[in-house]
Amino acid sequence: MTRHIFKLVWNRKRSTGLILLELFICFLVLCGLMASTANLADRWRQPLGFDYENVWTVDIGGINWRAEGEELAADRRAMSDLVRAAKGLPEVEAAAASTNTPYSRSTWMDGTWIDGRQEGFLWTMATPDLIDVLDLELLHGRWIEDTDAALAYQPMVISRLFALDMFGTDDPVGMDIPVFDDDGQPTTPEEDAKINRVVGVMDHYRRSGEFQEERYAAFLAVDFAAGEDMPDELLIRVRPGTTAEFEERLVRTLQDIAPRWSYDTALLEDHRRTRNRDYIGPILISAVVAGFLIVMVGLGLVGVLWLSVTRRTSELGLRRAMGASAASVRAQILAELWALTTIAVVVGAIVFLQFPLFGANFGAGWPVFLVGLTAATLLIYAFVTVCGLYPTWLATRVQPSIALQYE
Amino acid sequence: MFVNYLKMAWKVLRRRRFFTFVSLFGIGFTLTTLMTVVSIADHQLAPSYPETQLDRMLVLSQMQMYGDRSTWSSGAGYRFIERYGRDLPGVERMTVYTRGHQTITFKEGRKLTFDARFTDAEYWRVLQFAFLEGAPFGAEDDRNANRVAVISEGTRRRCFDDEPGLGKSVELDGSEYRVVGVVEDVPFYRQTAAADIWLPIGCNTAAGFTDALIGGCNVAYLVEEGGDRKQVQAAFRERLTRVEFEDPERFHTMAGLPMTTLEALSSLMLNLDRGETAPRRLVLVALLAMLAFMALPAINLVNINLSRIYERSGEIGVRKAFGAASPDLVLQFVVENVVLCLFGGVIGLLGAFLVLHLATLFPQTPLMTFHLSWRIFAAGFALAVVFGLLSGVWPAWKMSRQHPVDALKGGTS
Repeated sequence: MTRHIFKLVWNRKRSTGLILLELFICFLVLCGLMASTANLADRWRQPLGFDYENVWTVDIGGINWRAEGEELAADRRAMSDLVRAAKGLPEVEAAAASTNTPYSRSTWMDGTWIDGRQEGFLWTMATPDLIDVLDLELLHGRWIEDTDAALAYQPMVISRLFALDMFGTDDPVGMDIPVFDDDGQPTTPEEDAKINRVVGVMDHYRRSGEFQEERYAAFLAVDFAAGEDMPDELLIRVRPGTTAEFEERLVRTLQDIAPRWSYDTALLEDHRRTRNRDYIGPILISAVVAGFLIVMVGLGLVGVLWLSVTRRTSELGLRRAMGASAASVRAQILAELWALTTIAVVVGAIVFLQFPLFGANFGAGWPVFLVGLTAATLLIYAFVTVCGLYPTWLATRVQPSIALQYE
Repeated sequence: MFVNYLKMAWKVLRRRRFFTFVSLFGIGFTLTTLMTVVSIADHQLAPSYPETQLDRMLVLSQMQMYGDRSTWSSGAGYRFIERYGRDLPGVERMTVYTRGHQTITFKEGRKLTFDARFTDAEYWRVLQFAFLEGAPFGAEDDRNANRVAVISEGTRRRCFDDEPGLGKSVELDGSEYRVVGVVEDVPFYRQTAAADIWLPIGCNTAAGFTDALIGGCNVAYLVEEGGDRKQVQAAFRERLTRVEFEDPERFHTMAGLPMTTLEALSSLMLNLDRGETAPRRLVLVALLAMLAFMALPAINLVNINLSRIYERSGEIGVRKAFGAASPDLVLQFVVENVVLCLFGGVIGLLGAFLVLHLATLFPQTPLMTFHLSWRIFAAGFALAVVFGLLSGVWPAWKMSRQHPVDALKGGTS
């Protein structure tokens, strides 16, 4: 039976070729759409690792990054004064200065080599209170401390993902992060450089938000006394129910301490909304465009099938005259359509599976990719079936006597 | 003859409403999408308020500074512009302004955020702002770092509830500024002009601002009427070779170029570096992308058209039997399809208008406007015709090849 159906399709290959091409492109579009959706859903349900509610961010502008000597010392003092002053406000539960704050667009990275690949990790320099402000979870070892700068090595807390990929299942606490040369070969560090040593492991830190892939993260304490760098963002956790009036008081307080800088305040929740909206927006627009494309193909398919059924009146009439039931004629038309779709799906799946082999994996792993493929396959069968309903119904209405009249 | 074809086209369109609807839906949707993209591109590239002299403008926005180990990419630095960016031959005027930053003020305990720019006095002569109140600040204000500000209509509404703003003061990031002018709002996508508040560049007291080779500033050059922008660019490149570096161990080369909007877009979209541009390549890529986007709708339309051959076999047979040659039939069917696509083009224009109008309702895209310029009209017409030919020629050719006998019988080939 199946062979027979494919034979029927093959015999009419010239007129069905274009439908096949259309279904094939349509299937690819659906695959892309479903894989992206599956990927987003997968990321959405993974834990963020921090709490974004009731947290204010202050983006400090106008810092002279090339400051040296006395100017740099003054800037560092001012920054630590800002943190202290923010902590002193009555509504504030905890305050910290940090780089790589959640949902921020500014990123501080450092690089290392893992398994022969060059990888970046978030260089998150913060004051120790960060753990309370963001409610981070320390899994193992200790957190960064203000006294870290006095040690002979640079203590670092790394994220679980980083620890797993860098050190495998070994206990990373107490390990040194290896030093590599430009080609990825391990080398000995320079004399005066401090070794980065892992002192603790924390859970996730997906600072770019729900829709972004988790990156490796490392945390280290700011050295306000002698460090060359300092963070340019503050994070402030306030008591629940703090009113908007707090914002003005906060900014005035900061302005009084360092009037040479500007202070851009926002609730972390607002940053989160903007960031996620900016990420979802373009995807949503593409989805709408793809949706329209598919509806258009669907309407075209209905039209083409309709005409093809009217054209095959004599064939269908003959079958009815020979005793085929309406249901069996309907089954034939649908089966032919499914046969066509199967060809498109098989070719499409083969093509689609090449994407991840060439690295374009929609930012997802194989499971997510296959979920997308399955969803697209189910959808396209449902879709052609719906498109075929009216034309197949028409086919069953062919009266044998009228159909045979044409011959 | 041609009029007859048009009449026929109209009759065929009205005969099978479902198919006409399906075809128009496809064409209309395709052209709506493409027209929206075209109008957004037109918004970016065409001169319009207040960048009315955009076709003579070259903007230096992105620069790189290279060392052996590191690269620093940002806007031009103020010191670089003062030392090497001035007095280029063939330039009528030039203006220096910052890239724009967020500034805040508080009104009755509520925070208001604005995009602000520091600009020099020439800015107001290179760009043609429409002043509702007052006048721009001058070179004097810039030199003396007077705390004055030009604000937009929208800023006036938010700060002063639409009452006249002239002479009033507004506190930005803790400093008081006096309003000297109010201008009409500028759409956010005008690269050089967009802002809510403009302040004299002399007021920018950020540490290290005036002695940076790279960072924070843009320059817009207005090329002389009839002048050659290539010469200006060549002169600029020559200036780059003269830059003296404080610490050549760290950085020893600078790159960047004053570009037209299209050139800047090409360097951004194609990820070019070192002041390279490839406007032709960008246009080619865009055209190819458009064609690729048209592929699926075109196949769909070809499919429908092919299916309808059989419906019209009788007509084809009669015409052939009475001596119509194949090319006549091809022409007739192509004309029909192009007419259909032109209807689709009208839908596309209306659709793009609707989409862009809806876009203004979102807070991220305020002040988006849709002007029905001749350029957009021409683009829409061209797109519709290209699409009509793309989807019409093959079915027409197949139709015309039907044998008259088969065609009269009802057509099976």
